[in-house]
Amino acid sequence: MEKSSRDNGTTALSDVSAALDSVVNISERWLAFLRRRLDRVRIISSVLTGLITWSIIAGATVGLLIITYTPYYIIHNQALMLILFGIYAVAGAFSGMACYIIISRKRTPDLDELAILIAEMKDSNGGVKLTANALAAAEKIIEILPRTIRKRNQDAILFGVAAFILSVIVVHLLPLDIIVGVGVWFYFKHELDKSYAKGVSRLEGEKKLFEKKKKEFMDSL
Amino acid sequence: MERPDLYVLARFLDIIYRTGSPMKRTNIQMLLGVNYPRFIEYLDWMVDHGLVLEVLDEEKTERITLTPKGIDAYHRLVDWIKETIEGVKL
Repeated sequence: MEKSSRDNGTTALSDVSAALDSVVNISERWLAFLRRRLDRVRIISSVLTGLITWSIIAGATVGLLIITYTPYYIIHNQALMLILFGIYAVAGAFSGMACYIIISRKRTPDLDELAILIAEMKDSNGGVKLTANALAAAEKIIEILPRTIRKRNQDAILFGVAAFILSVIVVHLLPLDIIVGVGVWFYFKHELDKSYAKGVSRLEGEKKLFEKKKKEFMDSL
Repeated sequence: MERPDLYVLARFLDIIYRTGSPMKRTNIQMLLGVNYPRFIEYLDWMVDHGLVLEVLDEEKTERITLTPKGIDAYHRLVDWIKETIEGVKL
């Protein structure tokens, strides 16, 4: 059916245009997905930075107070501690936001290049680079995906920090809270590493298959 | 030329396929955006592989057109790109 319809010049051109339009649409969806994923990584990094900043300042203050005064002083000045921790939380939030702004300013050449390819495909409207750009877009997506998957490694740390905070609120026993946090972190790290390794090896396989098919196509000419 | 760049070939096929009629060498070369010696290398390679054909028009001017093999190669290329991008899964 497809072959016979392609015997007619006009139908063939519309078939080709439809196929390339589909490539443009799919590429746009991938670009949107990759940008969302990148933004998620930025948010996670910022949250982690904020939490780490807060923990370091708060930890240092508590340590300093214990050394200078006594634990008794801390227990009996809870209002002061709350105010201090509140100020540190604001400092943490600011450092998180600053981190987000700095990371957002970092250029993403791969995604920018993909966006340019898509824009050119849409603008060219049957132009001379449409097929070459479609090929470049497909190759770019296959190339970017394994790297994007690797960037999710911070998720495990975030789960660990969340578990630690939850444990601090519920259990109130620092050694146990640390064990819970570290345990959750390692558990998710192990699980995510396993699934990432699987995903990355599959995507690397797709990359190799793409190169193989490219060679096969050239050999067939 | 041992192995041409697929991207240049794709552009070459695109130009002639979309124009729909035989084209002058210089027009193709300009649209392709490569220098003339490089263009000739590609043209020779494509003629050798039966993808394009040099024909003479009514004014005896040499023009280049796609052969059925060239048209088929272009269709296969587009189909392969579409299948590849549709097959990408996360």
